[in-house]
Amino acid sequence: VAEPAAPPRPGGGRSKRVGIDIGGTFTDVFVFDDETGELRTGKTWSTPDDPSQLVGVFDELGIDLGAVSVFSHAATVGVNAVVTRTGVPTGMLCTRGHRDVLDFGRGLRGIEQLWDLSSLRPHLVRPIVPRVWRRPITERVLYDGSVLVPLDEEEVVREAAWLAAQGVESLAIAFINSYVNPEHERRAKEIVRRELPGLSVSTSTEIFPAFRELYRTTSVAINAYVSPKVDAYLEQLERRLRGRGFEGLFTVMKVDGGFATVDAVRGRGIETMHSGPVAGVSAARFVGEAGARENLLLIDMGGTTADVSVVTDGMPPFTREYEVEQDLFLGIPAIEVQSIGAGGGSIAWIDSGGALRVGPASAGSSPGPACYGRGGDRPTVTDAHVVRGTLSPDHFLGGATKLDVARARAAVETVAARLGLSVEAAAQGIIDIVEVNMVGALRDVTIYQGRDPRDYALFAFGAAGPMHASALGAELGAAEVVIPPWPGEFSAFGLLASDYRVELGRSLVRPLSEIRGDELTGILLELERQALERLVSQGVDPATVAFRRWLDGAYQGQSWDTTCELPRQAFADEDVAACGGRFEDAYEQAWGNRLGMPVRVSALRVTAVGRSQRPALGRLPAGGVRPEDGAVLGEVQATLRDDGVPGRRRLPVYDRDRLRAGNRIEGPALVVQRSSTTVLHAADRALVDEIGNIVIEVEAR
Amino acid sequence: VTAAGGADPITREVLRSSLVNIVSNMENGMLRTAFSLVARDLRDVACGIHTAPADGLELAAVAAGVPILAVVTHFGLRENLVEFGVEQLEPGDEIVFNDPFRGGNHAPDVTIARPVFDDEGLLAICTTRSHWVDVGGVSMGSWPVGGGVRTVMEETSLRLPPMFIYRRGAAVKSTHSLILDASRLPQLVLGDLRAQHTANAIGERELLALVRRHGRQTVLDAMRYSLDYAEARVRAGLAAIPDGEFEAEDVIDDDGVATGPFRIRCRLTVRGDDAELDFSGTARQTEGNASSPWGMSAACALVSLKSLVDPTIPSNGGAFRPIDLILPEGSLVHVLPYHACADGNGTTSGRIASVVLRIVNQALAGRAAGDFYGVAGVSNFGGYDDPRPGRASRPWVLFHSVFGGYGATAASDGQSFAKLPLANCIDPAVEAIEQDAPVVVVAKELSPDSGGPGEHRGGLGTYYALGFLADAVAANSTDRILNENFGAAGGRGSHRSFVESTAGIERAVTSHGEAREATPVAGLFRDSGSGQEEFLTGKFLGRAVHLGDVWHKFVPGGGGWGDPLRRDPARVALDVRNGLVTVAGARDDYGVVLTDALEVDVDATAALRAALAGDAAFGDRTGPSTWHDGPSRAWTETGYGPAVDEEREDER
Repeated sequence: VAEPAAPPRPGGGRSKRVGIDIGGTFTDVFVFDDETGELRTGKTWSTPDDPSQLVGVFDELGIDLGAVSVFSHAATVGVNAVVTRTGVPTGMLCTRGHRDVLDFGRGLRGIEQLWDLSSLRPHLVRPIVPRVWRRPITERVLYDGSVLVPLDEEEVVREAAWLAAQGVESLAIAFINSYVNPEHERRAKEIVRRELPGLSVSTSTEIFPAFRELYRTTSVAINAYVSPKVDAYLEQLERRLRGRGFEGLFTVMKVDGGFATVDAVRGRGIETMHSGPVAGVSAARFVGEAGARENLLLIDMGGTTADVSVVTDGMPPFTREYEVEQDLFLGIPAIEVQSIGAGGGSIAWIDSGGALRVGPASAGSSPGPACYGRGGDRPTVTDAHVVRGTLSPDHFLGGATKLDVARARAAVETVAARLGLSVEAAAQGIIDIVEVNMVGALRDVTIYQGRDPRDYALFAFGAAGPMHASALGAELGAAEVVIPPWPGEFSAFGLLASDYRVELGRSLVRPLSEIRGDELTGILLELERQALERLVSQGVDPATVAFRRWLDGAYQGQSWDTTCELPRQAFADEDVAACGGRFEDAYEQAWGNRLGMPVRVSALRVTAVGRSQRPALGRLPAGGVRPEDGAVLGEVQATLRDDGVPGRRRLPVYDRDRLRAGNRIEGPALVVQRSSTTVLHAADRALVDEIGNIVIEVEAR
Repeated sequence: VTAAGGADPITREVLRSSLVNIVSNMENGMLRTAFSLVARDLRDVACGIHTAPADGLELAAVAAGVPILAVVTHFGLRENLVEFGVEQLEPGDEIVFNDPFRGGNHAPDVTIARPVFDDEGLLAICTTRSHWVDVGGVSMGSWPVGGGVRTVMEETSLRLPPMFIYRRGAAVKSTHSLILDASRLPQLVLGDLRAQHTANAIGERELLALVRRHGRQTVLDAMRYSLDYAEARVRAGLAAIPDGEFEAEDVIDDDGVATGPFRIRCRLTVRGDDAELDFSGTARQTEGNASSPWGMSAACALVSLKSLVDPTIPSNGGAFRPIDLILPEGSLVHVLPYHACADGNGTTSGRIASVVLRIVNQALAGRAAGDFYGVAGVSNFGGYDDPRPGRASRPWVLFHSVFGGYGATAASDGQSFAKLPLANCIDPAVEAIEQDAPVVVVAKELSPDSGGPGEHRGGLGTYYALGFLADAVAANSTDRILNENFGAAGGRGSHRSFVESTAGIERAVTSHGEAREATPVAGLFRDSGSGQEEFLTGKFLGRAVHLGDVWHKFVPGGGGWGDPLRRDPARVALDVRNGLVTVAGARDDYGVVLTDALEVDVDATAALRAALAGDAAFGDRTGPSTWHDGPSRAWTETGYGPAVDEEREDER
């Protein structure tokens, strides 16, 4: 595979950047032309993880691969392999006595399953590494890195050979306390490489040297399970693209929101997991930056789920405990995106206490909401919108599909009768419940983390997001609500709007007072050197690389870390104490008090970001305060909550494609575009800005 | 959502969820800022929001924390605040209490309660209850067990009646000093205490925000609605049980002083959507400290019943309204002041859950399940010096709390490696334990053949091996040594629990598969020569543990469901390949004969199953056969080394 050594230059006949995001139902495509500034969006049915289908998308949309300078992709092959348990046969070498880390998880049961005695931890029922393929190895490293029992090298050879004979194709190595001393893992890998060169091998510390064996063990298991598939998929896709004349740069999105080349993620398939939702965060950061917004609250609502995230001072929050399913963690730096079962297809039901519930079950695309007329008869959020009138049956998907109002009413009637409410009130109830679920998730990432939603702009996207944006913004008291120009394809746009990113860390687990200044400096410089090397190898211009340094720590005696940023300087011994002060500031910010006690350093980390060439977005042509006459498509009858007007009222329907910068719209109104409808409530005042965002001023409730 | 009065069903449901979210957030804040392993990694913690005194101080919202701690506070808060005088409370105050006889469980579990005021007065109470790592007394970790402690005063140096710990926002120094001076680990207690304070402050801030948004009356109505909602759900569950009386009993082995069995008896009477749980006939409180205070017993019985009737009902105070409870004074389930009771929290509490499960198995056959692993299995190891290089010479405690198997049901095999649902803790990382205490976790694995045999197999028990890098003293609470747990619908129970010790940590890691000299610590041991059985109690304190010792703890699995001869042979074979059942276990417990390649020998299996079906001795078995000859044999066959069948796997 020919890999370009440097980022391609715009011009020279190659001017198009293409981002492709594969969703559960639709594959979204975003094309931007550097020379003309033209942008296009496209949608096609998904055939997950089939490279040839993806190549076909270019034909479908008439894109000349020879004209493409950058192709960026959020691959779903890794996450799908885990969800459907179709990864490669994977074995594991673990410390003798600790064979069941994957099955044990955290041992706890969720509040809903606590007394449901037939609810089992997923990995016990559907293992990614079955117990028979988790092989104990005689070796033991202690808490301080000292070796209690040396690695039994012959046993490694024997067990690996047995696993290979069983048909295992990929091997994960995870030993206890390897975060302080990775030598046994490293040596075991070396041995397996030598003896069984055909086997793919990953060790827990090379994925990320995190404290707490569960997070390292699940990470390396996932990585071993998905990497061969991810590698094969990306290589095959690249080969096909090259075969069709593609000479540009091929990048993939990682779960930390950064780009990487295919080479850089080879053998590290875990990094490509969940990159679709993360792409939405990149898109919002980009559009936010263009409008000078640094604090963003994001809600991406599709058919089955709503993904929630937050960006503060231009930075999204990172986690190393991203939970793919119960107790299966990505223990690597990942942008925190919370997913809840609240989408347009979420089903409303009545529980045994007579309370109205919505989701997490979803009607999906088949049978779909009742109003689609494809056999669904359970009431969904989309049906509630149709009953309420906020989803106009005549303007759905540009009028291409008619929605069946009678079926929607009949479905909602099934819950209305049991609640003793009118169909309209029940429809409003369904919307209120799904909104409170989303507000709960949005509050989780703001108020519960010490962030005030009044300092944030709520970015709502995904096909269903703009229908709820104004109500959510009002409930949260958000500073403003922003509907970006292409809410339905926003994540695909995010694939063009990110940077290269590498994060490296080293676990210490030592009192800060015992760390010397030159040691601190040395570790950080070494991490920066390695990070830079990785970026440069991907063609990043070293001059564009920005480093940041982080200290994960806790008060001596605590277990869960609080993170603070460290300055980029050479540390003298007396500067180390100042790092403690920075830690205390961060702790107080997060938890409301400072304890003035000794600090323990868990890990030092470095993040390195290398700029990519981002698209230069054009501006929307200016218009008057009033939208042009043709922008009003008509009127609908709808009910809205809390606007003081009982019963149905008339709402104008605007065509978003005909809105111009500077246009103002007073609520109540609907703004429709092909893949989405924006609902404006009575007190809302909306402005179209020059980027094309609809910016809504909402009245806090 | 500003509808006045909050009368509409949607608003109330919205606010009910909001209250639960607030409690979740309190628990998150508590966990992330706590200092002791018990609180921060084991999460032996629960938070709650309670109604104001005018509304009865009922527990209105709980989240995922340890259910029993939240519900004990439901009873304890009323007891303590009424005595203390509600009229004394002002904004910024917090009250601390832990007395087992004022509606508590045992001294280490301490509640801090914060009244929340708005402009119009007292609105609600936020509470946090957390297991403090040491509150003094005769035993490090303050969970002494068995003989030698007759009163609660010997168990703890800190029996706290309700006292101010914060007054108008300021820490009350005298109370802090009283608490910290009573503990051998004051730094950890102070850290956890502050974490509780942080959590209560989060609860207050969030509740007041809710009032600002929705109005006082709407929030008060929502709390009442939450309680009424849980009550309605429990009534619906009870109504589904045919009117009648259901009786069951179970036992605890001993109390560390005298060998029992000591009986816990219970009768459930159902009339329409009302019920009564009557523990008359339960044994007298015993000399040792296994008896349970009334608050703990009430919480265990009520939570178990309502949860087994319908697992999805929230555990708030409203759920308990339809159930009358009779706990005879001076009995094992209602110990009188000031008799020692620290281990009532471990031994008797778990058995109350088993008795209620037995009743539910009769009353709601469709929900029948095998028993839980059924032991506290708690060890408190502690010492006065952590001799590891670079560690300060100061006291340390490892509170080792075990996870075991759940019973199987008609729907599925049982869960492995879980905590009793009454105590939904998190399993601390081995690496966190080893950073914290001079201990090496040599093993923490599923132990083969420990799942109760059945058409659906019980969840597996756990084998723990802990090696010590320091001298220590141990207190331990283990039951189900003489009286195994049970299966359902023809399923069998698991094995008896036991503990042994060996010398040499390195040897414990490397000497797998070999016979070894083990010293019995707790269990029913049979002398291989004479065949004599010797019972060593699992309830003791003050046992010396030496540097280099390794303790091997075998925690039972859950009970099976259904006739084991009906289990799909292919699933038995899969369990054998995965090392969950041994070849011998497959044959003797399930009548499944495997070939050398670990495939099912269909003809031999059919013949064996036919023979076993008519074999009275097989029918009388109560647990897995491979464990019948005593722990040592089971250990060599199933211990941390490659089990016999693993070597067979190698030949596949």
